[in-house]
Amino acid sequence: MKSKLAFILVLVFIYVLLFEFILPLNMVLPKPSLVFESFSYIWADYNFLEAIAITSTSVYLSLFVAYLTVSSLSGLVIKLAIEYPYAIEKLKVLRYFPAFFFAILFSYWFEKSILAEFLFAFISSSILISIQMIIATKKHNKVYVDIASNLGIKKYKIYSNVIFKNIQPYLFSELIRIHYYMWVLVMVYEFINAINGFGGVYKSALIYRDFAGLFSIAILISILILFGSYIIKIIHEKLFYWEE
Amino acid sequence: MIEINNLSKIYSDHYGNKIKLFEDVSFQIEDEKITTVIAPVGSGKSSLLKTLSGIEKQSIGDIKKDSDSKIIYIPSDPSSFPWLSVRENILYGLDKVNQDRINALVNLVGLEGYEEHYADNKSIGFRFRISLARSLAHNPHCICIDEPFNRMDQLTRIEIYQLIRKVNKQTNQTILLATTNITEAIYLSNKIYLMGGEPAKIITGFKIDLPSEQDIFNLSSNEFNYYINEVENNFKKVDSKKVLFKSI
Repeated sequence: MKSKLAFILVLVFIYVLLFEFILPLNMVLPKPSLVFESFSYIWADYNFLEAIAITSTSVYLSLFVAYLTVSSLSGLVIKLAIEYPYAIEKLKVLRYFPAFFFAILFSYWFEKSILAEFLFAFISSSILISIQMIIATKKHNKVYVDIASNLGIKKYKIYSNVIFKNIQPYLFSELIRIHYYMWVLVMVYEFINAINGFGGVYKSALIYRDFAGLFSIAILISILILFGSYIIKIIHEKLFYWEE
Repeated sequence: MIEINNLSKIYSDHYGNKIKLFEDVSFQIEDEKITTVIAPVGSGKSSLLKTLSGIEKQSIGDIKKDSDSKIIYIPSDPSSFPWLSVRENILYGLDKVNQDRINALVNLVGLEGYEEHYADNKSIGFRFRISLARSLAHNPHCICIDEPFNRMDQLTRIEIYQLIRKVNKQTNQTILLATTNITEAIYLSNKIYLMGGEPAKIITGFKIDLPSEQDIFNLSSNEFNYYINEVENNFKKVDSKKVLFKSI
């Protein structure tokens, strides 16, 4: 942690030195003092609080609802992964479709609305969590399955109560990675549809050619993502005491 | 009694070649006794126990037992669900719960006071006690215990040896053990079967007739050494390359 912080401080020092004093006028990076100033005006100019509320809610609420939904359907997803592995292999072709294609498709289907954004985020989160569940199913500990089947537990219950419980800590830890993807996907969706979230804020900053604003927005978003990861890590440690 | 007749296990390797793990395995598991199969690593002991418990299907052969009798398998490790408490583990898979019996089982295996603890960070010995109580809660005809002592330290081993003997004595529970260790097999069992060769077969079997209160710290009696020599000599006849272990 200390070494990471030291590395960031070194980068900031180089950035300030280079772009404040040596190359103040350039087309590469904005002057640090301008970025610092922009922290104060973005709140009013870009309706930043509303953007935080919209994008964060879309990302985290959809992730939470998707996690609960996929968990409640874990028996079915694991059954598909174990009993129909070839069908799952065939579905892998979908990964070649770029994510923003689905965002465009959604904006084509639905009117520009926050509800449609949430629906898009929910479906994307559910797909990403289900994919991770299918991957994790291959790593489950077969000993638990042996014990449960020997005790007369039905197959579906083994999928939902034994294999799912066994892979749940891994699956939850993968939420950190999934939530990074979700930030990108949701912002792409907002950018395409000019919704008032961070994607919309970025679009406006680009239209106004607010170079310093773009930077301060990025810094604040990264702080939010870091905070989100930290919360997920804390929940993971509290909930999944049985991780092997 | 459970009778195993000409049991064989054939599996396909990654290249599709058929490989016989064990062949024509025949022996009896006597009711209320401890029977042990001694065999070196890789002889298919686990597979044999899983086949008897119904987890794996036999390729050829016949297992004669009452149709409603249960055979419960205890793997070496991990053998309890770490996300469940001790009590939840013991109750797992039970349709009807008799609290008095569960409490008696908790006491029998020495888990009293730990009922609400979780097994996730507990020792192998502790987790074995949970598995044993869970198995007993199902009223099985036989409990198959697969190399339970492999990763235990010496003190825990001795505790668990004594626990297995106590459970067998107090509940008349039929037990089938699989091990690579001659000493623990002779110490614990009423009857042992020696398995070896490729594919593995039952080489011989003999009754162990030692004082029931054999001292675990004094296993150098003439009778004890006689059984050790018997096992070693029989084993050398079929498998001189593989080893069985002697020390506890």
